[in-house]
Amino acid sequence: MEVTRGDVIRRGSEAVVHAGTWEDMKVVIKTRISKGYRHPSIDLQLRSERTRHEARMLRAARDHVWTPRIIDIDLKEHTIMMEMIEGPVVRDLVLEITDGNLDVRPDGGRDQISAIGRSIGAGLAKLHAGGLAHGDPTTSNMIYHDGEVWFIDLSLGSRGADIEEKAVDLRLLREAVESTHPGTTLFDDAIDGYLSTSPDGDAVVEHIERIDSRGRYRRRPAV
Amino acid sequence: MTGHIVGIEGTAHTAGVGIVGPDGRILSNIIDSYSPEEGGIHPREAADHHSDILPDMIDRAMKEADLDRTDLAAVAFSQGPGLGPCLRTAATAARALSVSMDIPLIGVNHCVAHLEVGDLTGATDPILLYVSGGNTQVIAFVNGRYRVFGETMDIGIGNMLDKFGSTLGIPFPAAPVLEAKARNGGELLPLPYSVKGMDVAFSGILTSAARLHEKGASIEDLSHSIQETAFAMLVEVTERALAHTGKEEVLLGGGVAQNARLVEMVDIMCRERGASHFVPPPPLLRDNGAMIAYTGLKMFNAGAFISIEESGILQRFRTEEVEVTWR
Ligand SMILES: Nc1ncnc2c1ncn2[C@@H]1O[C@H](COP(=O)(O)OP(=O)(O)O)[C@@H](O)[C@H]1O
Ligand SMILES: [Mg+2]
Repeated sequence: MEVTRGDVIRRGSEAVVHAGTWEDMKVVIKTRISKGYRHPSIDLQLRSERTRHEARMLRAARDHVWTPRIIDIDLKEHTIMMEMIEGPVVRDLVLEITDGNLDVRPDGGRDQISAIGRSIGAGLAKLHAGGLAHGDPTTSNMIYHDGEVWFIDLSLGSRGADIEEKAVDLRLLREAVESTHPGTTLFDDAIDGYLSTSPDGDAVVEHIERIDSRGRYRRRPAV
Repeated sequence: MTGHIVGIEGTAHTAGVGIVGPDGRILSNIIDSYSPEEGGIHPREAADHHSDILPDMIDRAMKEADLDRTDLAAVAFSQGPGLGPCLRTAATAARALSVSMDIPLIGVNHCVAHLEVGDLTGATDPILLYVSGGNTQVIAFVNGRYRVFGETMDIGIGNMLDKFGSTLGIPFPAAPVLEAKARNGGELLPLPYSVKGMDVAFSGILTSAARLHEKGASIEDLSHSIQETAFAMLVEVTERALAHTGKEEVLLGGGVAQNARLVEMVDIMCRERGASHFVPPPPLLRDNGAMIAYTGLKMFNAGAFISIEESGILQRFRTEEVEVTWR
């Protein structure tokens, strides 16, 4: 098995993502990095648990939405190798459309934003119907490829998700849109897509308000 | 010599009175903690302690700063969050001083004061890791507001350490004793590592540690394991907040930040990502009046006063609720 590691795509607080090739295929290798501050056994345990969890979530999600195929996981190196999904992350795509840098139709890209929003919502509805919550549905964790929205980075996701976890997903999406794509219809479009795909979507959407009214649920305040 | 601000702290077991000059320099910072005979939380007894001692502490703070009451421009107090009886005592002392000297009253959010006083350490725009008995939060100032990036979903880190100590018969506050014991611990015992998104939870650690103790685990190993697990959770969430906001400084606050192992872990995390970290000296880390006065001064300069009618205590005063007009 011939693996070559190329450029770093992203260096996050928990993982480094490399581009690479495996045989003739373009791949992405996500490695959970060691943290010098924590006890070596806690460090090893967290890295392997989380690698395993993310791989399991990606595999489970594949039955419901577009998500990269896992090629290999290495629990000693704490890496997941998966197929590379070519295309922009949705964050960059939407920013380009809204900044007017893309050659969009005269409506200023509203149709494209709508289509992307609806696919995001439909995708989350399908994940939820499969009992999965994404856990971190920001537009950086979605890739636009071949006219579809692909979901990545399910490391904070869960299986057997209840209505609370599903509503939290939608709420996290709302926060992400408010902070990264303010003034767009992306979230409303996603809710449209969600409602038209999910059989019990109404209940989940209503539950968002219940969480809002509790007033203490901001995992990721807008920056 | 006018324009001085006095700050009165009384959110929990510690009463504090501090004075800052118009330039923000701390001129005095008197601290007196109520230590109960028995472990646990004693809001009423602590409040009685504060009301007995606050008038005298104000006099001492004035004397130490070499000031007369007429030099005071305003009185700031910890309006919340905290224990009702304690907050009421501090608020009463502040109102009395405000009325008798005819100077404005300033209601300060205690958590925000821990962040603001970071200026004095050289921090300019930090993420605050605030770790005390009752509070455990990761806070920063972003887009015109103070934001909580993560917090405990159950008990504060300090309470967890003290409660564990009290099950072993160690008197309050147990955390420093556990820190000493942890230095002689060797084996890392498995305890639940509970981070969900940016939030943490500690009660699982408490339950598991008690069970391991019953089965004969040594206090040294348990103390070591509790610190390694709980502190790693805190540092992880702090690092995520750094990554999320793009900020490059970490400030520590709260009594638990006197723990050398926690400081070391924050230091390593910051070094690995090229960030810097700031640790105030113990009198500014602990609950204290100087940080209330210091934050009060900033609010004073922006005219953020409250009337007596608006000066009711806010036991659940949330960091995000603070209406910021002074930054
Ligand atoms: N399968 C993939 N194909 C293409 N790009 C990917 C893939 N997986 C991750 N990436 C890129 O790497 C970035 C970070 O990956 P992610 O799994 O979200 O890690 P992190 O935990 O650092 O957020 C993504 O925003 C995306 O740009
Ligand atoms: Mg990601």
